[in-house]
Amino acid sequence: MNCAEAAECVSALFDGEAISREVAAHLSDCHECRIRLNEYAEMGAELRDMASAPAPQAIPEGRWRLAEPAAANNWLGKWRETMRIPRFAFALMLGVIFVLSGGLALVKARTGGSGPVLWLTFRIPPKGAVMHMSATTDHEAELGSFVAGKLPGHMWTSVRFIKREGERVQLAIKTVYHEPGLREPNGCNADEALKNIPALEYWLEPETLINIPIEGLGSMEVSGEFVNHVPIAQDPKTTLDPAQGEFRVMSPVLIRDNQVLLNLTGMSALETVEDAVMLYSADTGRFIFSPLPIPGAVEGKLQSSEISFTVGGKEYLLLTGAPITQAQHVWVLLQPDWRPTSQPSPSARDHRMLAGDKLQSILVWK
Amino acid sequence: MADDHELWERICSRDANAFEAFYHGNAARLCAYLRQIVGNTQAAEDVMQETFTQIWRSPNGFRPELGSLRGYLFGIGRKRAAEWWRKRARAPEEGESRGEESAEGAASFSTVGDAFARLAEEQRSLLWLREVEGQSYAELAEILQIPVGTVKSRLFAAREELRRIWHSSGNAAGSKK
Repeated sequence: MNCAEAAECVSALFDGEAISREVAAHLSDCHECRIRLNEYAEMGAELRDMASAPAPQAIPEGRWRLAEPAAANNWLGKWRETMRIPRFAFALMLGVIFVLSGGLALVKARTGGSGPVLWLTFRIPPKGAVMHMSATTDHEAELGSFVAGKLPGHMWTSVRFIKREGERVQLAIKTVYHEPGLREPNGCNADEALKNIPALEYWLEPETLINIPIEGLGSMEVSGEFVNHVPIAQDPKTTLDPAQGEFRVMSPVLIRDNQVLLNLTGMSALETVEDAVMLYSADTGRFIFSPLPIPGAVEGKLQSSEISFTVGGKEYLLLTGAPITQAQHVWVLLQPDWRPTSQPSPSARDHRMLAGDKLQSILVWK
Repeated sequence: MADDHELWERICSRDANAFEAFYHGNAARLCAYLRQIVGNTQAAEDVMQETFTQIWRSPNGFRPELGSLRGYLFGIGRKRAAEWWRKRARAPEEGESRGEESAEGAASFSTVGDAFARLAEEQRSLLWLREVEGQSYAELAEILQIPVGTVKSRLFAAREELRRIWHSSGNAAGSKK
């Protein structure tokens, strides 16, 4: 062994790392390497001296005291804005859905207070799957639309907040359920599915649940409460850190070569083990992200709430509002020519999509 | 580690007293570290304040199993310092060049300090965290978002570069015992 070969081990030795017997033998005989070790020690000591010399007289007052916690108002603004946009995008969020049907009804909601945000809970038949939705209650707004996955058929729903009067709110809801094989589903296009469905108005009041019959599916329970802020995710129980097996993309922004390519702030896709998330826009085509290997995909670099990857010589960065997964690896497939088979309505043609589902299901989506 | 975990839980539950203690226990050291990255005391203090403010506003991402809370703090601080540099790069007219600041900052340093000020930011950052803050390889890997093996090789490279500059100034030989 010569000095060049041993040098890095000298550095490691100085840090208290174990070295091989061979390196130790070299050090015992090599004057140059012992000088190197001594100089490392001398440099380290001088740096520590340097650190202690300019110590401030007093620690300045912490400005953090002036900062509010991450404000609900910020979320409200973002949520309010995004909820107007992505009807079609929300329609592709498989795995979370809700529904309604019927005429004018009075739906009473539980209330946890008198905050500005209405938090809706829908328990969907037949298995009681739960879906949440939130709405700020200070102005009329589209809340979004959803298509139910993991049901025998297909169910589409859209919700619009109309107004609030004291502790009750008025909603306009469109919903339709198609039995399996009754009609070829329009991809996952809620706009198309709900095009000819009339919007029906409902009042929600505190302290009461309502069961809404859905033809061909069963009865859906609806409840609601007022809260002070929009939760970080669709489920208020969603934690900041992903659970084992979770793969989720919340409020994503996709950047390419330092330019924002796709901004889906306020939208979320939360899926479980062996799942994948796709982002789509007409300009970019579709990106599929998954902790599972995808044929033809590149491996991305996963760092908490970021995924960086390179495709076609271009550098991409996906930033999300919360850590994505505990998985160690992530694969990214870009399909620039992918388009939904069923064309969105004219108003939705330029919409973006964020959706989660099983990887194999997403790969065969049309 | 257990203390870190408990402290973090208190911070996450908006315990201002806990955060105050966290701040007072780490602000000066973080500021000293940031000064090595951004090159002047005022900017370092600003970045330090931003770092604590960010954590107080949105406490997230700390994983006790991956390292100490101080390591996490320094990692956030480093990212904020990088952001500070990016902003400077977009508005260079607002300040001096980085090299000038480093040289200015080094004026009162020892001879090793002079050499240290001439290192690349990444090497300064790495050596400071190791030699002054005593961060372990695993913690350095977490802070700098690089593999542990890379920490080892980069530390070696940084030491060798510091040594080379130090020798070239003619001080090393004279200071050898």
